[in-house]
Amino acid sequence: MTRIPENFISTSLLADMLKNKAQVAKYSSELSTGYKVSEPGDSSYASTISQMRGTLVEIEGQKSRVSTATGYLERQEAIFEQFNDILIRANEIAAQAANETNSEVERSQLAQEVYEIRNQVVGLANSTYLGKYVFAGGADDTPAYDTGYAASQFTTPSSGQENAVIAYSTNTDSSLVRSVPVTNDLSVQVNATGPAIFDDAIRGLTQLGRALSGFKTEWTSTNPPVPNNTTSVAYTFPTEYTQQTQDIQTAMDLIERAREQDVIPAQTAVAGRMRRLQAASSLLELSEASAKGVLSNLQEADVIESATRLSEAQTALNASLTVTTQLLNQSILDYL
Amino acid sequence: MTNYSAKIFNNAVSALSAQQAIIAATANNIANVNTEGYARRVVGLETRYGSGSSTGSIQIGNGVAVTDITRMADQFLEGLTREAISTSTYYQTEKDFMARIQPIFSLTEDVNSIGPAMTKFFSSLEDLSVNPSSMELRSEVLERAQDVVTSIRSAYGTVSALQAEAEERLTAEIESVNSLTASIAELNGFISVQEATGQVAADERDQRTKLLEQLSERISYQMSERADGSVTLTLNNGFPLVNGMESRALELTAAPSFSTGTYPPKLDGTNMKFIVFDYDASSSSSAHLNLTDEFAGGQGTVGALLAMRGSASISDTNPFQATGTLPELAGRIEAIARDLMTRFNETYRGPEATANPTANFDPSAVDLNGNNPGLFGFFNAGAITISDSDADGIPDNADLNAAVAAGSLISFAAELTLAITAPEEIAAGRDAVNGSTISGGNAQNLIASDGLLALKTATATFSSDSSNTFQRSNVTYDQLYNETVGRAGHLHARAATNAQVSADNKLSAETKRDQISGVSLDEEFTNLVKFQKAFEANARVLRSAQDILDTIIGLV
Repeated sequence: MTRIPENFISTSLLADMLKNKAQVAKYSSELSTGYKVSEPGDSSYASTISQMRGTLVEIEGQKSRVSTATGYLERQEAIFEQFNDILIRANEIAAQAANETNSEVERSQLAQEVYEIRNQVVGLANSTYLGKYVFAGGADDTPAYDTGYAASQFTTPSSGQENAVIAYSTNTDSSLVRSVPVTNDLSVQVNATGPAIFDDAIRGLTQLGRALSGFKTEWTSTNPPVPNNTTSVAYTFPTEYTQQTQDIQTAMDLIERAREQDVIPAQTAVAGRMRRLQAASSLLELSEASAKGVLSNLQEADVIESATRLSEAQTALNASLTVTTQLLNQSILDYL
Repeated sequence: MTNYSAKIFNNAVSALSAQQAIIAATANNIANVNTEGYARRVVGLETRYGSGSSTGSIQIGNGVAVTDITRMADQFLEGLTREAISTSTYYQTEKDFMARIQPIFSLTEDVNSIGPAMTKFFSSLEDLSVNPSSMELRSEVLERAQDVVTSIRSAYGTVSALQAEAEERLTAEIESVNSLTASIAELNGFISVQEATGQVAADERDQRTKLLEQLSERISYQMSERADGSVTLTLNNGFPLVNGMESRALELTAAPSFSTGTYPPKLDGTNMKFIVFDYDASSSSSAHLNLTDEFAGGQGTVGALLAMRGSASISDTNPFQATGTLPELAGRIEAIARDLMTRFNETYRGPEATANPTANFDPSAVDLNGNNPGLFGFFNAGAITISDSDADGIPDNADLNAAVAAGSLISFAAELTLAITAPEEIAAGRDAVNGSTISGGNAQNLIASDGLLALKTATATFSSDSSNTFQRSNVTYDQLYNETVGRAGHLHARAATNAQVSADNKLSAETKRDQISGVSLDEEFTNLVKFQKAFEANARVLRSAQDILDTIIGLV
C-alpha cells in the first residue's frame, strides 16, 4: 500500500501552484513588454537576436547617411544643371559677339554680361550644403574659390573685372575628396574638387570677357585659372579686330569644352552615385525588413498567442488553487 | 484450581498499557506531522510470554507486550534525498546568479549594453566622416563613446560585484557548515551513548537527519554510519569533516599559509579567499590545507558559489585566470576593453612611422586645435599611468601588461575612461595611407579613409590578459559580443533547466523518503480510532472481570 503523507500533498500542491503562477507571470510580462525574449537566457537564439538588434542599429545609421549623401549629390545635381544652362547662355553671347558685324563698343558691352556669368559660375563653385563648400574638396569649411583683385595683377587694366584673380583654395586638403561610408561595402564620394569642374569654364569666361573688353590673354599656366600678369595687352584696333574674333572663338571652344568634358561627366558621375545610393537604400530597406522579420519571429511576443497562453495559465492557476483548498480542507476528522 | 480471574485482570491490564503506548506514539506522530527531519514511529507489539502462561494443560496466554518503537527511516532513501538536495541548491544558486547577469546583455532597446553601444559608437564615427568638423557630430561621437565606456564599466562592475557577493555568501555558508558539523558531531555523541544502552535515540536521529540535510544544502559529502550509530562525514578526497564526536572547522582566508607571497586577485582587486583547514590552529602560525578545489567540484550552495566566483590557483596573477563563470564573463568584457585601449587607440593615433619604425608614431592625426593625440589618445584607464613600456610610440598589450605587472591596476574594463573631454579634441583628420601626413590638415577631413571605421568590421584577436586566459581570434567586436550574449544566455538557460529538473528530482526523492518516514494524518487517526477501540474493549474486559469477581464474592 502506498502511503501518502501529509507533507507530500502540501509540497506537491505548492510546487504546482508556484509553477502555474510563474507561467502567469511569464505571459503577463510578454503581454506588457511585447517581448517573449528580453534576456539572453530566454531563448537559445539570443546570439542571433543580439546580432539582429545590432544590424538594425547599424541600418538606422546607414539610412541616415544615405539620406545625407543623397542630399549632397542632389545639391550637386541641381548645381550642374544650372551650370550647364549658364554655359549654354555664355556661348550664345560669345556666338553673338563673334559676329564681325558687331563693333568693339558693342562687344565691350557684352563683356559685362560675360563677367556676370563668370561670377555666377564662381557662385555655383562656392555652393554649400549643410554649411560645407561642396566643391572645396577636403577643405570644405572655406570657399572653394577666392575672388580678389591683386594690386599688382596688371598695369593695364589695373582694376575691374579684367583684373580679377579667381583662385581655387590653396589648402592641401582641398585636393582630396570626401567619401562617406554608407554601408559596410559602399563608400560614396559626396563632394568634389573645384578645378576639374569649374576651371575650364572660369578660364573660358575670363578669356571671353577680356577679349570682349579689348584685352588679349596669353595663358602661361593652366592652373590657376587666372591670366598671367605678364601678358595683359590691349588689342590694337582695327588691325587686331580679327584676332579678337579668333580669341572669342577660342574662348567659346573652351567654354564648350568645359560643358562637354567637365560638367556633363561630373553630372553623369553624380547620377551614377545617386543610383548606387538608391540601390543601397533599397537594399537597406530589405535588410531592415528582414532583420525585423527575424526579430519579430524570435523575440517579439505574439499578442494573441500570449493572451491565449495567459488565459490558459490563469485557468491552471485557478484550478490548482481550488484543488489545493479542497484537498487541504479534507480531513478524516470530518468523518470521525 | 486455576485462577482465571487473575488472568483476565493481567491480560486486560497488559493490553490497556500496550494500547496506551501506541496511542501515545500516535499522538507524537501527529504532533510532529510538520516537523522537519521527523520519521514517524511505529510501536511493535507481541504476545507476552513467560512462566505462568500455562494453566494446567490449557494455555490461556499472558496478554500483550510492547516490544520496541521503530523510527521508520530508510538510509538509502535519506541518502538519495541528501544528494538531490545538494544538486538542487547548486543549480538554484547558479540560476539565481545567472539571472542577475542577464540584464547586462539585455536584448531590449532600452538598456545600454555593450554591443548596441559599440554599434552606435561606430555609426556616430561614420556620421562624423560626412562632416568631420561639425561640433554636433563630434559631440555625438563623444556621447556614444561615453556610452561604450559606461556600458563596459557597468557590465564589468556588475560581474565584479556579483563575484564579491558570492565570496561574502561563501563566508556565511562556511560558518553554517562549521556550525552544522559541530552539532552533528555532538549529536553523534548523544546517539552513540544512548544506543550503547540498547535504547533507540530516535529524537536525536531525527535532529541529525535534519542537520545532515541542511549540510547537504551547502556542500556534498560522503556519509557512513558506524556500529555505534554515529556518522562519519568526509569530502571526496577523504578529508573528514565529522568523525564521531569530532568535527573540523573550516576557514575562508585570503592569506593562506601555502602562499609564496603572491595572492590571486578577484575582479575588484581584493585577494581571493581560499577554503582551508588549519592543522595548526592552536598556535599563532598556520598550516593550511587547501580544500577549495574539493568544494569547487562539489554540489550545494558552496559548490555553486565557487563555480560562480571562480577558484584560483595561488600563483594566479590576474582575476581572469580563476576557473569560474564570472571570471570568464568578465574576461570577455576585459578583452573588449583591452582592444579599445590598444588596437583602437593605435589606429586612432596612427601607426608607427614607416620611415623610422623605431621612432615615435607618425603624427598625422591631429585634432581641431592642431594637437596630436597622446599615447592612449581616445580610450584610457582612469587615473592610471600607462607608459609606453616598449617605447615604440604606440599603445599595445605589452604596455597594458606592464601596467598590470606593476600592480597599478587589475582590470582595464573597470577603469576605462575617455581620454577626450571636448568635441574639438577628436583627431578626425588622419590620412588613409599608413599615416601619411596631411600637411596642414587639421582634423576637418577624411576620417572615412583612416582605419577607425574599418575596425568595425575588421577581425582581430581579443585577449583578456597577458596569459591569454580568454582569447578569441578572427572575430569582430560584434561577433565577440554576440557570442558572449549567447554564452550568457546558454549558461542561464542551462542553469534554469537544471534547477527545474533537480527541484523535481528533489521533490521526488523527498516523496519517496516521506512514503516511508512521513506522517499521514489519515493513517494516524485511523490508528487512533483503532487503538482507542482496543483500549475500550480491554477496559470492558476489566469490568467483566470485576463483575465475575463480584459474583464470586457474592456467593460467599
